[in-house]
Amino acid sequence: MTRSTRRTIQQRPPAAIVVAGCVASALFVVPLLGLLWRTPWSRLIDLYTSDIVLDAIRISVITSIASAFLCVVLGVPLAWLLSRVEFRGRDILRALVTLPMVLPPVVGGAALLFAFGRRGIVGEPLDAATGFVLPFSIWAVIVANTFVAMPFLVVTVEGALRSLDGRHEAAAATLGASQLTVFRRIALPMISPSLRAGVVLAWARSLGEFGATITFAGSLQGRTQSLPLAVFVALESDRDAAVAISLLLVVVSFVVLVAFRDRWWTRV
Amino acid sequence: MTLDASFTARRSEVFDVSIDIDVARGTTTALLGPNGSGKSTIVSVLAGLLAIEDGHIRIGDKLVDAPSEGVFVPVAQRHVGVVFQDYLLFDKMNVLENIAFGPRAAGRVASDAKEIAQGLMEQFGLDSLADLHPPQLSGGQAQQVALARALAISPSLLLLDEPLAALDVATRSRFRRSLAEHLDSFDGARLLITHDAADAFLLAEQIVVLEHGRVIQAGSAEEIRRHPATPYVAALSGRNLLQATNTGGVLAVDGSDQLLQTWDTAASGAVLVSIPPSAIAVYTEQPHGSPRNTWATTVSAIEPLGDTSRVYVGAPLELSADLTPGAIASLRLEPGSSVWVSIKATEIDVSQA
Amino acid sequence: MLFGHRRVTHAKCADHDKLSESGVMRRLASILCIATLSVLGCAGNGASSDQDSQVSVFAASSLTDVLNDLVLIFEAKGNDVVLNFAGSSALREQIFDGADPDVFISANEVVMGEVIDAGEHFDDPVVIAENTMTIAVPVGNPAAIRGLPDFAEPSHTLGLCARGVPCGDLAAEVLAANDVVAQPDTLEPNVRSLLSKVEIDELDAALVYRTDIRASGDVEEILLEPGVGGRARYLAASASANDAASAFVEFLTSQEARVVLDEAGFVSP
Repeated sequence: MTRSTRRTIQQRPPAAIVVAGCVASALFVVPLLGLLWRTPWSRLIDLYTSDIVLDAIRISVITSIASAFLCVVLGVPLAWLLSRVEFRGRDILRALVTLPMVLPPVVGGAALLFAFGRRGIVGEPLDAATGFVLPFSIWAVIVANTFVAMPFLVVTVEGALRSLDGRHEAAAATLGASQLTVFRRIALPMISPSLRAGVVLAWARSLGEFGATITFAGSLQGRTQSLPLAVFVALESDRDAAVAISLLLVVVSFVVLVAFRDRWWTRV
Repeated sequence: MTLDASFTARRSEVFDVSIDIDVARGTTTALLGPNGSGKSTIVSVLAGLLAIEDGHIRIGDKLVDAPSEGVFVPVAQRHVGVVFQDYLLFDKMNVLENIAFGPRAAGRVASDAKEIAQGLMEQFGLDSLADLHPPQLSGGQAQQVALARALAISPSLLLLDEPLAALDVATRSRFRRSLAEHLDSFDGARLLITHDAADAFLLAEQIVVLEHGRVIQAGSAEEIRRHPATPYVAALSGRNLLQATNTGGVLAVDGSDQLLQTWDTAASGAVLVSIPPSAIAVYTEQPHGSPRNTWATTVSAIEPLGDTSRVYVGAPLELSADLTPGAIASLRLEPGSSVWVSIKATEIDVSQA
Repeated sequence: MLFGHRRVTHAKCADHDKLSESGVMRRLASILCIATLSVLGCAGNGASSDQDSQVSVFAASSLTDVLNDLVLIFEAKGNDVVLNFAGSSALREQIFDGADPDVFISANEVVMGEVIDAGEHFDDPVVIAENTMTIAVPVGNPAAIRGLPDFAEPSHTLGLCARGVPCGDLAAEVLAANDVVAQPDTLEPNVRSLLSKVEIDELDAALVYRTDIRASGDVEEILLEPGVGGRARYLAASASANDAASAFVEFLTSQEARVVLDEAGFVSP
């Protein structure tokens, strides 16, 4: 047998498109180079082991994972409702759910404060009944993160559910499976690449969340100060620390996005 | 009657289906029709995925859909086993889990469901495939798993939607025969939906021919073959079916001394031979070349069928061939004409009888 | 507010431009550069240096309202001013990154000193105003805050500015000088976000500048006990050999400007 050789027949791409693509790429790459250029390499270990950074890492890890979990537990059922049940106001609800994606997060934080603050429409009765006040606690960070991150999960999962043709689900129904069983055992496994992508997106969005958190939860080292908040505060006092934390956020986010790239961009 | 369905259903503004079918327990009825004739709408309706507009559907002694009485049993409670056209196996589960899915969904404990699935796999000879996932199966294996999965819920009605369409021609005959066996072992009502006349004539006792959402003819295979109600039915039923014995590619046709040659040696011994009427060429003189599968005979009858006419030839083999009226005129064919017929060996479909 | 006009935007230069193409372009350039500056710290300041009559001013954000008012008066004298507000330290970083303002106004003497020491070409800074710390409480003072010692009470919900932000540094200084170990629930990166939380009664009290309270109508002020300290000095420095810049700094120390500063709650130096 002769070995077949594969000839590539890729054409030279048009110069104008290449130029525009390079400019676009530079827009992403150059700021990262700037960050690397300003990184205080010799102080890096000291900075990363400082109390402020270690506390911020702890808060960020806890809150981003907790909110990713909440996004799944609450967001997946919402995505199912939006994709599978026809009800009045569904389009409006869908728009509302995606609103945090386009809204300045600060606006979201203010809205959360008006809702769940101790003088908020829900927060005040909650305070009166239980004495529990959400703002300035780690729970507020988790709520703020979830508020901004959940749309990414809902949009991803709902899109995946809507693009399922429904025939496998119908087949499962003919076998006697209830809607819940069909969702859990058929639809969910079928959209698992999208679900994974949605979780990663939501988690990454929580990790980088700043505006809603500072507005709703405030900023206090060891309680509510996550990495992005620490960056912002450090910018005012210790720029080396700000750059070091920024670098950490960039590296972690980048590693996660690259690690999930295959499952995400090729399979979804 | 195990299936008693008489209804009108609507898929869209412009397309509705209105039929009346009865299927007795332990028998197979084929619903034969071209694409767009309303077959898939009927599958949806009977499975409970689409509600009827008018009429009633009774499965066993249970009324499952009757708008006038406000009855509609949802899909999950119908107990209609469906073998879908592309099987729709669950890729994320292995074969065992696929088959056990129905019993599990019905609330049986895992061990019971597994036992039921294992029993079926044994019956279907699928034991060795238990741990495989659907993408690893061949088309024929997937079809068997789909059938076993549908039977695992002990359905009162078995719906087979084009169960052989996804298989290639080479394996279709083999699986048609195994399907026939499995159908025989299921004692509920069987409804086979197909566009392939061979499936209908070989697997079903009763045939309902569907066109544009309406039944145009119903009856036994023999009745339909003898008296096709429309050119479509005639075209479907014109396929020449012969019983024969295959010995190394040489077919000895029962009740005739004419031998036919075939390339298909997979099915040997007693076989069923199928020859489409369009595969038979008719000449007024002995054709050159291909000496095999060519013989002299006489025209016994000519029937016009719309665009074509069907020419029947007599001894040594009674066959029908489809010719255009132009060809018939230029050959000056009429009943009693002496002709030569020729059949390409590749056009002869052989399946195990 | 003194003149009762709307809050003015930062890119003042555009208001006086004819709608010529160059005017539109310049307006765009100004807006883009301000936007870029405030986010990234952009290299070079394209908005000003080529034109003598236009003065680019980097100013501490606590001066936002009062400087907008003052600039209106100054511009009536025929000069354009482009304002860029941020925390003093953030402005310092922008200057170190190559931004080249004609005037730098810091709320922090140390920051100003760092900028001068780094060899940026500014004339000696002058004090243009002083500001004092005070306690902001929600209307009605629901938590009955009386003074600085209340900041050590854990049951209160309390806010301060973060360290590194002038109001935070000054608050820390004041608290330490009075031996108060504060129990804050949040250290806000800027005074506006701190005050807004007081306004809606999510915080019982916050330590802020008096001027911040003047600008926010929705909080009450509890004056610090006399003698606890807490004064901030605003210093302005103009770029060397820049007449328009020194004219602006001179204007800020004029009697005319003082009236506006006093009205906003600043104290004369």
